[in-house]
Amino acid sequence: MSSPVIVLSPDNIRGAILKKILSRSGFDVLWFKSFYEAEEAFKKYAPLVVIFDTKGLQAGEAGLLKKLRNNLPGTVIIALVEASAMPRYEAEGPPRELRLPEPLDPELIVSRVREIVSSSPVERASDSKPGKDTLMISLRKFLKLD
Amino acid sequence: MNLIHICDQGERISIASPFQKKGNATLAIVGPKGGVGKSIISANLAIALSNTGKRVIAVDLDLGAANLHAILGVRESKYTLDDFVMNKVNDLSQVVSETGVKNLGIICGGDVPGIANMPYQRKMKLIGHLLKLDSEIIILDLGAGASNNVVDFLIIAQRGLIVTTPEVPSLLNVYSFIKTTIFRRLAFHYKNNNSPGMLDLLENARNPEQYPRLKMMEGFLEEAQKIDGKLAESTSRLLEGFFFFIVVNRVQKSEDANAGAVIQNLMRKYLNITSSTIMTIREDDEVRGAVAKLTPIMLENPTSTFSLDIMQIAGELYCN
Repeated sequence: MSSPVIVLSPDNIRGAILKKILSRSGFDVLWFKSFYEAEEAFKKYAPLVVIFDTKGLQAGEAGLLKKLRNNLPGTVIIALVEASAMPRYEAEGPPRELRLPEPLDPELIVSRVREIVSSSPVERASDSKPGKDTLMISLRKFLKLD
Repeated sequence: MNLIHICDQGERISIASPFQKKGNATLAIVGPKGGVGKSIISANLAIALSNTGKRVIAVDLDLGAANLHAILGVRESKYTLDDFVMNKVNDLSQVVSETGVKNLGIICGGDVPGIANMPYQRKMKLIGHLLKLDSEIIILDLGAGASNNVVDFLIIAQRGLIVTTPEVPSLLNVYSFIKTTIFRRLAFHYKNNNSPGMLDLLENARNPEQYPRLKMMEGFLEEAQKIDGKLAESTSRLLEGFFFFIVVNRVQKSEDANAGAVIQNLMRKYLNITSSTIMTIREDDEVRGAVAKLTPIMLENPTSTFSLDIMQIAGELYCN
């Protein structure tokens, strides 16, 4: 079973856009507005990718990125950071995550997520079973889920 | 303990929480698409469980299309379930016949026309008596389809085992059945809490073309939050409490086993059901021969691949 992409965005509109565009691209997505809400999901899924939207965060919340890094050592974090705020986040230490500047570019984000997921050995092992994707597509089509 | 209140026509019955993985002893076996091997699995699973020394009663609730007795090789019984439903027998325990297998009793189904559409009061009486049967394990062999009767008997069981084959039509029926079950359970919940707003929302969710946001349970919960925060939270908890065992029967090649994982993915993504266990039963030509002889394959050949897979399921369900 593939792990979901977790979106952490306090912004209603941006969070909804990210969730929708990733879902449409075939990813399982969970969107949380706060780190506190997302903690259970982090424990449960050990996600491959977390999208961390910093827009709307206060200056004092820059430490959340560091916290994410420490809590999720095997996860790729895509941080969406405004150019003006970049120094603040860089001050948190050397980046292990991908940092994508503003404005929000959903297509770029999807392409980055796709690259990360397709290069993951876990995903390759679990999702490339013959017939599984075809079956899923057929069921979603007949059930009118898309 | 969670309680279910079934009260869609003013009556109410309270029972223990549904679909718990461990604990209670009523197991409902359902195959939303007919012909997937549900009754054969019910009969042989009943034997496997009775072999562990536990008292088991298998109940044929495939109303109007009963055949569990034939699969178990029971040719005659003094009473059938119909006698109880038609008030010819007062107590359901009087209808239990012995099967010839140690520790295993059966409540045979009958063939009275129209029994599948029994009045609500009789269904409630039957549920009450089923839950009072003196047995360590009760197996409910349910009919195909997703009628209210089938769904209600599944809801009152402590564990639900859903049988499918790896083919798309059967998988479609499984997903639709699970969704129907969840919607009915939520309807009971909202009726009990006198929430017309939530019932309207649930009704809208039945029309995904008009309300695409409600196609996924996550969207439903977000809308529910706007109507009644507490009920939205209790809905999330109810969904967390659902647990399904999904049995993929007649597996011929390794890809067939993927069918379970696909259903699991759909349940997680669209219905927020995160708890389920997938089990598989390999295709075994010996099953057909045993059915023709009206002898359960567990007795005919306990070391056949089918029998071994059934024993593994029995172990997973009750012995671990």
